[in-house]
Amino acid sequence: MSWAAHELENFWLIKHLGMRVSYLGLLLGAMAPDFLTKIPVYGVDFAGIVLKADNPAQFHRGMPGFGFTSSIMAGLVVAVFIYLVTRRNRAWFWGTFIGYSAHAITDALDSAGTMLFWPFYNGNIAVGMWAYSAEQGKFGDAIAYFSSLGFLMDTGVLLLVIVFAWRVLSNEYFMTVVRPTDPAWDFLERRLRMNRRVQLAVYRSFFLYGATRIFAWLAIVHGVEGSQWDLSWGGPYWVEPFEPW
Amino acid sequence: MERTGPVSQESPHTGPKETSKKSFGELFSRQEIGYYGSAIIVYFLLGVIFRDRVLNIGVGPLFFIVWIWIVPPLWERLRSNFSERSDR
Repeated sequence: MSWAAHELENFWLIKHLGMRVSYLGLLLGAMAPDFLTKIPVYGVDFAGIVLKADNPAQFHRGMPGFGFTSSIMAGLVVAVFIYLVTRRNRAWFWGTFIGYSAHAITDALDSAGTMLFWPFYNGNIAVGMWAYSAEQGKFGDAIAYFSSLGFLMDTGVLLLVIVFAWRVLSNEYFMTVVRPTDPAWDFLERRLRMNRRVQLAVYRSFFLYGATRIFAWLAIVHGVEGSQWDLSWGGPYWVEPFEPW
Repeated sequence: MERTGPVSQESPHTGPKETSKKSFGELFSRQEIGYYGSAIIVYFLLGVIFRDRVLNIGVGPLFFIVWIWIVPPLWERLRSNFSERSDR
């Protein structure tokens, strides 16, 4: 799985899609595939009750499990639901669908891959660029991801935004393109009395979070923990090769 | 002055022509860079110290929103108080 690409790719998409889409829809779509699965995948201890999947990879990406949530069809179902909830807002429909699909496609780059074409094809599409390592827990996954080609994935998307789409982060772009496309911003202003400076901060917050998170984890993994780099295809070497279920 | 009108039909996804031609300095003020830059530095340091308790999707975006909500008015108040004192 990707650690920052899902937050960052929306800013490249909103600039280069060539159509009006809701940024908030893109964000919702990009976050939705892992909404039900992230906690059991890494495991959580809540008042002595441990909630953790026996086989995190299968639970997250396979069948039986919640692998179907990382598919284009699931994105379509969620987008249709959002379309109806937003009183047939096309910008929200396309935003949710594209954000969701982009998440599923990005995750297909690791060794576990995603059930991209479910229900027409139940196998996983996996490029195998870096090792899926969620079974190592969240910290172990961070070490493996930021020592492997996964790190290049996140920094690559960050560079794409900074080089080819940096203007989307400006106040002017937000006010003239992002905001008029989506009535939700007016709703935030009227109902929650959120001023436009804070609306802009909401818009920029996931970019700042994603970008800063990359460098903070790099500092922890390599500066504090002294982890080795392994930029070989499918690395890092210390993660067990992925066994399909 | 902020432009809030609808986007032209000719270029709905790229925005008005002037946005796509403006330089970095024209689109981002020094003040804005200062507020956001300070937020990035503080969040980075907190992230390295507190790790996953801070570097998660709940706290992360919220940190930046709260920072931009609180710090600029606070900074302006401090600055005006300071200049009032020095005027006396």
